[in-house]
Amino acid sequence: MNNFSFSYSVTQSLKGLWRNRVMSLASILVLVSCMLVLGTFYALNLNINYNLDDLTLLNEVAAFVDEDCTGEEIEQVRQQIVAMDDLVNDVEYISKEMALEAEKEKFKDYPALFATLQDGANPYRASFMITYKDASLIEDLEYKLGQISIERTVVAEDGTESVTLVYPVDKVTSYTEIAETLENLRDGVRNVLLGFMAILFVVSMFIIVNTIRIAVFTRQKEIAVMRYVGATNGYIITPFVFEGIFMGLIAGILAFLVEWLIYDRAAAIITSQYRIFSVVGFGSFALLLAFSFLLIGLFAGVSGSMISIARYLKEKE
Amino acid sequence: MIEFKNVTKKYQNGTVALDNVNLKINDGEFVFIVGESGAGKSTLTKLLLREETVTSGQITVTAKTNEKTEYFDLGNLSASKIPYYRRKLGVVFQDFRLFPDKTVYENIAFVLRVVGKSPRTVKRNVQTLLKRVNLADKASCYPDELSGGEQQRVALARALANDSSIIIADEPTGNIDPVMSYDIMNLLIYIQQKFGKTVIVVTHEKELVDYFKQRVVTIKRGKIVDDRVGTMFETSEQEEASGKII
Ligand SMILES: Nc1ncnc2c1ncn2[C@@H]1O[C@H](COP(=O)(O)OP(=O)(O)O)[C@@H](O)[C@H]1O
Ligand SMILES: [Mg+2]
Repeated sequence: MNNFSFSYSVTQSLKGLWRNRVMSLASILVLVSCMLVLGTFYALNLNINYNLDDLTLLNEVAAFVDEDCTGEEIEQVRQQIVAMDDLVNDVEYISKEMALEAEKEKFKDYPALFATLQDGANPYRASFMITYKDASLIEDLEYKLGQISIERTVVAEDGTESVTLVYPVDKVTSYTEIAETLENLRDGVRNVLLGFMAILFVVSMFIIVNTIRIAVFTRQKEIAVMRYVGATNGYIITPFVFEGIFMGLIAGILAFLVEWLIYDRAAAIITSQYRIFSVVGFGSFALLLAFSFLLIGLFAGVSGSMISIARYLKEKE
Repeated sequence: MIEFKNVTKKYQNGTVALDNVNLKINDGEFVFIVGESGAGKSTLTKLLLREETVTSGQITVTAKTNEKTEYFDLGNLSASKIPYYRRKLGVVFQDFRLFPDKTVYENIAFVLRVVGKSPRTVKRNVQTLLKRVNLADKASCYPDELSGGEQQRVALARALANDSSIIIADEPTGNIDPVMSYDIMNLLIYIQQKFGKTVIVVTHEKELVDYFKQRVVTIKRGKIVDDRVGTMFETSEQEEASGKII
């Protein structure tokens, strides 16, 4: 395509959009709604995942250890856990202080939550966060963690020393059930998401095909004459494809802006009302969203317009 | 040169519109194609425009321009080549087929843009073309501000726009008053004589044909029944009965 026919195509397509403005606007709005539904489900999915990760419910258990353990003992426990290499992938020790700091960091916007704590008071417990290998062996793991023992030398009041065996892991919390529920929810959301993607695709195509078909229909005679004077199919089709592209891109941009607005509103409400739920910042997926919306718009525009004009360009065999 | 060899066109509904037609038209020739309504004249032009394809037989077109000679076998023309073939032809219809929302100037400029001419070439060529059909002063008019004859002259200018070597006019005077009809025919003959283009005019207006004394090909029920220079061939019942048809 040379410069002349490019600018021709652009002006023709803009004229076409304007001539058909009611239909064009309607298709843009339908496209926007489809994209919004898609975007919202995507954001929901993202947030569920984020919170699942955040609560480390997926393949971790927390083994809480005896308050009295010394640093040396903790190290012994750690080594014993590491030794269970058929069950355990990774072990991380989280001290009382670390646990408190982590929570403070997580809720740093709400210092009031921690204001009631007395100086030096720390309600959190030291624990090992253990990433396991196989969820079906979780009971084995729990049992073995309970069996971990260390020798502790106790000095009695009278000064005599005695060695006792202690089982420092006193509580194992696994969240398999909650995790399963949340995972199911996430899978459900993902399926709905995929379903919506399919529907979005069909609806957008249908809308664009229809709008461009009207545009083509109103210019049918013009197209016929263009063919008589030797216009190539590419030349004839381009303005219509551009028309579709413009509609798709405008819809993509609008959908992005609206999604942004809605999401920020929802995020503000959720974070102020349900503090435990962390909300993913819009910025972290804005680019992906914008890109997807534009791509969907582009694709719907190109294929929709091609479909609607193809039969007017078919030569007899 | 245009050559129809044993061309038969049978439409899907079974109508045989052309039946074993053989016809040769030389470069720079002027030909009237005449015949009653339904004889198959438009079918012949549609085949030539590659809007329809033959059921059997062969149509070949050799198009000469200043630079080169190109040969087309319409039966073996790929879809992507069709637009380029059509640029060798200029076509005029009974109903003009101008764009009502474009000015005279734009109606012609449009064709030049289709074939990728630069804006400057477009401007220059449109002006030349408008002069050629005597409409230089109507460039900014819209088609509905023109008479039928003027509209057809715009259509003719458009047909000449892409420097086609063959002009095909299907009933060009069908919607025009008789006086203006002579004008249009004169213009078509002028184009043939002055620019050496091959001109094919389909019509059923006997008086007009007789007046211009050109080659006349008569089609009847899909067959060529006469081909002569001069006046229009007329078949009467008696002639048919006595078997004088060629
Ligand atoms: N697309 C078509 N489908 C079926 N029959 C057609 C079609 N076009 C023309 N015909 C028939 O073919 C015959 C010749 O038509 P046409 O070439 O238009 O004649 P003319 O132009 O001489 O009046 C007529 O009987 C007409 O009804
Ligand atoms: Mg006809």
